[in-house]
Amino acid sequence: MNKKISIMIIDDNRIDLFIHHEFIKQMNIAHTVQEFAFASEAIKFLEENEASKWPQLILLDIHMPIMNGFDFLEKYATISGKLRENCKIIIVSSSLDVGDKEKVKENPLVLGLLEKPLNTTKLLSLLNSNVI
Amino acid sequence: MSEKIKILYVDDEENNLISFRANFRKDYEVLTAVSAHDAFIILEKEPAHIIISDQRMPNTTGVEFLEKALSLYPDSIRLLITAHTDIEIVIEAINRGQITKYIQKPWDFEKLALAIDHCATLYKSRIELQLKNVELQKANNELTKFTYSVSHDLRSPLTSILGIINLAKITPEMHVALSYFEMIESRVFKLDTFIKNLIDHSKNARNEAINVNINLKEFITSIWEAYKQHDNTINFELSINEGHVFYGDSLRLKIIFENLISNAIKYQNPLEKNHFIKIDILMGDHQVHITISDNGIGIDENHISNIFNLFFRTEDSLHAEGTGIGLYLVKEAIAKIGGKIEVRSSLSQGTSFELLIPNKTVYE
Repeated sequence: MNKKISIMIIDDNRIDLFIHHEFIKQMNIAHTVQEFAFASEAIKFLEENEASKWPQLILLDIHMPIMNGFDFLEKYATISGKLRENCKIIIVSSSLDVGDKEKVKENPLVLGLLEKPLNTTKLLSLLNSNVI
Repeated sequence: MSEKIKILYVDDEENNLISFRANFRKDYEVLTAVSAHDAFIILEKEPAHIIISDQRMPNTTGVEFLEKALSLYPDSIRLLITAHTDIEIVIEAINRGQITKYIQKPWDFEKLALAIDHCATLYKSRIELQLKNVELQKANNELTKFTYSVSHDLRSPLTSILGIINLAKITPEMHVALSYFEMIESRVFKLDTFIKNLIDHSKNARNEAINVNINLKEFITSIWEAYKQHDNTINFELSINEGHVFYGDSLRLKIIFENLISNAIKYQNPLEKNHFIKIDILMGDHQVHITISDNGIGIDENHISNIFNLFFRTEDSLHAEGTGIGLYLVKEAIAKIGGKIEVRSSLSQGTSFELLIPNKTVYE
């Protein structure tokens, strides 16, 4: 691993936000970690900030009320491609049915899918081949 | 089906139409046409449930007409009337027009009435079956959605707990690791609440109401006492008019009051100093009027129409670890005992639920 990155975590469950944040600390891969309990606020941040403020990685939960992970991806796709260029999304979810998994796999914006609880080895191998 | 069965009779001989109308207009709504052409004009405006056609007509034969009627109105029940016992025509009518009955001309009232009665029964059961199918499809879709959400809500606290355990294993400082127990505890509570809700849901769906004598004051106070142990910063007031006997279903009433009281406790307004839940009970011989109000955070008017929906959660309910099932259970339980519930709320002022519950006391 060469350089540290900025990571955004989106999860409606505060305990999961904490766990993911702690794991990232342990992995020592990030210089900045941002937590969002509402996908709508995360979208707002991305829309209002220039590329330099953007994370290189988003860990996205799917099952969230109001704006779920799929709604987030839809909104995210409407943001200019130039901004999205260096940002990868990994879905982290505790339960996805077959249809949802297909939907996630087909989405070109999504780098991969990890199951909760987050497995640091799997996260690292996904990142090593794609981000870092 | 309460509406009258509608019959369209097509025959080029007007006398037949007149006598048909005279014979059947008492029991059925009768429409008539002298040709296939006229028949389709009528059908377009008023799709008949039963279509009866004479075979021999100028321009279009009965078989040709019924074949086209089948393709345009597949739900209709079709009959052919023919003077000649021509087996070829009958076979054609069965194969192309998919007729249910064939009647010989000149028709005899008794026989025709019996045939039409049979067709009407067939039509009604066909429609009933279609409605049942739509209902089943709907129930099935809801079940799929329910299972999906339930499996998520059951699994997600467990994955959180597993995550915390994994974290604790690699945390060398004992005092930090100990703090994880609180997180585990909160996730266990959430899972436990959810499972209790599921059990209530299944009990509510399965069992019929059993009405027993209930002292509402004691009943509600004991529910409050159970919740008070978790939170005693909230003031509880209950008023009730005496002198009435109440009979009702204790399972549903428990579901209703547990959820409404625990919501009032969960959604307290942090800016408010004196939190309260106020329950006013106005007993009557036939129904009980109950108002449960609080000075909690209130509900956004954009969300108020959705709060009784399954798995609906607001941003506030996320902070308070709501499961999105409580008020749905309340609504289901109220429906089961034939009551009514209404809600009024304003943001940061409080919420007030008004309940009308039937009093099942039987007076001799």
